Amino acid sequence: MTATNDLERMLGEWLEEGPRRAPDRPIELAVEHARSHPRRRDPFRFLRPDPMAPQSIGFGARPVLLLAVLGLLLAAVVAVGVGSRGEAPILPVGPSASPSPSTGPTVSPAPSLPAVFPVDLDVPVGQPQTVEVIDESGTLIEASSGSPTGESGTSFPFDEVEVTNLDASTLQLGWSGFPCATDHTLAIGANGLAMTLTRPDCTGDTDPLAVDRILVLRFATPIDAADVVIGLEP
Amino acid sequence: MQQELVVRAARGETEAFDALARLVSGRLFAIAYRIVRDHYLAEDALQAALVTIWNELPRLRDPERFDAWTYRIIVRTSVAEARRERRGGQAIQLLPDDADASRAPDQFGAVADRDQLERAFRRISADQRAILVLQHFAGLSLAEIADVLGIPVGTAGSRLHYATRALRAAIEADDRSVAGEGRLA
Repeated sequence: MTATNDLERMLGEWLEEGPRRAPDRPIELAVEHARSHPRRRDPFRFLRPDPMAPQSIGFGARPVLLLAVLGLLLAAVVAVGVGSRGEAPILPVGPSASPSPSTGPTVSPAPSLPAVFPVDLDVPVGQPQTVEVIDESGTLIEASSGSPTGESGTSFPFDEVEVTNLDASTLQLGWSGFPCATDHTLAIGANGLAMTLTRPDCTGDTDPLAVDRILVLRFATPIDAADVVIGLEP
Repeated sequence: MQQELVVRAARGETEAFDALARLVSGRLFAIAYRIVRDHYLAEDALQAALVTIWNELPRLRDPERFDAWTYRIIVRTSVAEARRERRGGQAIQLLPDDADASRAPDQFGAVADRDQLERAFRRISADQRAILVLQHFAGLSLAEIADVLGIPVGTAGSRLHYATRALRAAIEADDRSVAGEGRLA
């Protein structure tokens, strides 16, 4: 304990050394950015999650839930409206009509949900790693593995998933895990923003040094990493 | 004063943002520098943090949470900068919990000089550096660190524990490499 206290005391003293005044340039560049990117009115501001809200279901998640409920209500109203029209109109079939057996209007089949994307992760070391991505939102186009750079050590925290934007509609999910064979599952909720990654524990012996895992998700619409709420289980 | 600037900057007043940025940048740069250990990387981290603050400020509902929120942002941008530099760097393997039992109680105070601490600190991960800086430089409590990082208090405690162990392991690795060089010479 004394050794730890000595180390912590020395660390505290050492960290006190170093600059405390910021150079002007980054401030000027940031202010220039602000001037060249004036803030537009955002009518949906109340729906955006508070960045300091708890990650679990809390105040920050409520606007998303509210939006989901509004969407469901709208869908229900539309469904009732369509249903109350009665039977589908019978289209007149002339002598030149094609001999198609279908008499009703043609409707493209809706994609079946949830969509499942199996991904084999690139692993620089250790046993095979897979992720089964289960998308309830219907907005995911592609799921693929990213490429971890190091053969050992981690760039990502062990007990959370780091989400970043690669571009406006592509997310990178990074986490770390032991190099035992692991079949992960990533569930993407109906709103496309709530996700849960399940990382099963190792059942046998494994190297105790964790390594990186990277998953790349491409969506049909823009998605902001800051809006994603992701949990890591167990 | 700061809260008023936060509210005005959130409304889109660039003059208020200018003043706010100048008010908080010293604190943020000091944190960034101590995580990345490089002046230019710290500048980049600060600039990225200030741009994020401008872009995201309207979403912050409680202006009183501004300080904690900006700590979170500067930690993220600093860790990102450090990782960019560190790719391919050496990882530190943790020693068992009783690894320091073989050391005399005050040995760290005697052995670990500032250069050694600098080398060891650079060898641990950016996340570990960040949590050590939040506690030992910014002086945040465990609950405040958990709030800043958006993690449970227990998780913050365990990360702090592992970060301290990793630093200790890095110092010991440095000891061994110095001793090895001495033998070769």
